[in-house]
Amino acid sequence: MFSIVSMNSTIEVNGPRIYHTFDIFGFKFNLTETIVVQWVVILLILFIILYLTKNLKVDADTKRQAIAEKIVITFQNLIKNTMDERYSPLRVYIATIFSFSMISSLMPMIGLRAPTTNLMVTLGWALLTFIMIFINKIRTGGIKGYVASLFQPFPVMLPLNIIGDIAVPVALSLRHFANLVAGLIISQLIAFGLGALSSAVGLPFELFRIGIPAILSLYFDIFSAVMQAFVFCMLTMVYIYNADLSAD
Amino acid sequence: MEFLNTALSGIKVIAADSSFLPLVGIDIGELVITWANTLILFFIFKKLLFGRVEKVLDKRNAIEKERLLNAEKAEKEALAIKQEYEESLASAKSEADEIVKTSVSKSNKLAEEIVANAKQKADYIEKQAYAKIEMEKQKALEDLQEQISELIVYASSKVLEREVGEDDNKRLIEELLVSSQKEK
Repeated sequence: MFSIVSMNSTIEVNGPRIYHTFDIFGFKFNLTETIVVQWVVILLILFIILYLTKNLKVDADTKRQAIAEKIVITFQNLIKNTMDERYSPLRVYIATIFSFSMISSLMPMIGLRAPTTNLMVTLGWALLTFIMIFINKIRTGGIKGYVASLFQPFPVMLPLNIIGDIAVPVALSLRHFANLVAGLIISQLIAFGLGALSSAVGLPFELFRIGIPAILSLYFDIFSAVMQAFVFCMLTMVYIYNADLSAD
Repeated sequence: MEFLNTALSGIKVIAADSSFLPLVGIDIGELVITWANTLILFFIFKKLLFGRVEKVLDKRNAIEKERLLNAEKAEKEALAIKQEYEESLASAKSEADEIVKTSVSKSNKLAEEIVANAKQKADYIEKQAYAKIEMEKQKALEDLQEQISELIVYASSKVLEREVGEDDNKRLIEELLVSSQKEK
């Protein structure tokens, strides 16, 4: 827990709340806020998808189906434009990560803690990207080609190349996490500041905390939620596409 | 992670509460659950969204392709029909021309024939008429000759009955001619 202590009040910026700790054969498993909110996000997405794909027809006449088709086509085109046709199987994964990340980051809108403010979540996704980059390198260049690529352009570069590979998931996860945490902290600072301002002006209760934080959260929550989800997906696609060793 | 803690804390860091995870920390359980959740969501997207919507899109694309093919086929067929029609029209025209030509020539021939026939008939009739006239003439002549011969016989008998002179003979014949004419 981090606390910012001012003259008479404290802001607390914690990690996710632990609801229960299970002891599974000596391994301590924490059922945290992050996990529960992820389930909420999954259920929400499931309901949205079920609603959108209800009664699909070849001769579409509902707005629902138009939206569902638009989403599918958007991700198909995103893969086609950023990478190429060969990577079209990735479209479902990219759609999953984008939606999961975006809806997760939007959770503060309904008062829940965003799972993306937990490093383990963004690190998990970044590790998946890392694994895919690795698989694509092996797939296109073979193990020989991959090992050889570590010694490019000079053998001396081996440590730097290894660091460069490992830096990808670290940078990806920290960027996403830090942006969302920054949003979280700024939101709380603003709420705190507005509360302090209310009492300083002499209002009987913290009037400024009503409404104003919501407007500011338009930027800090919605904009950064969409932005970070998009950035994460774009970088994932670009990294995987550039890992094609056969292109060199 | 300490630098992050210091950077984020601003003023003071208080000891971690046991009911919260640290803001920056490693928790393998959360990592694994995140992967599991991502996998679940992946299958939701694959089966419920992409699988179903892409099926519909593919079907629609197939139908559109078929429609396009059909349209092309219909166009080709229409063109073929048009060509056939034009060809048949041209052949019909030539046929009609031929028919007109043959009928004109036929009718000309027929007219000529009719005229020729009529001429022939007329000639025949004329000839017949001439023949009849000739026959009548002949008959008349024959009659005349018969009467003349009768007259001569009569006259000669009369001559034989009386001995008269040459002048008498002449006068007598003349008288006879007159009387025969009167008889007639």
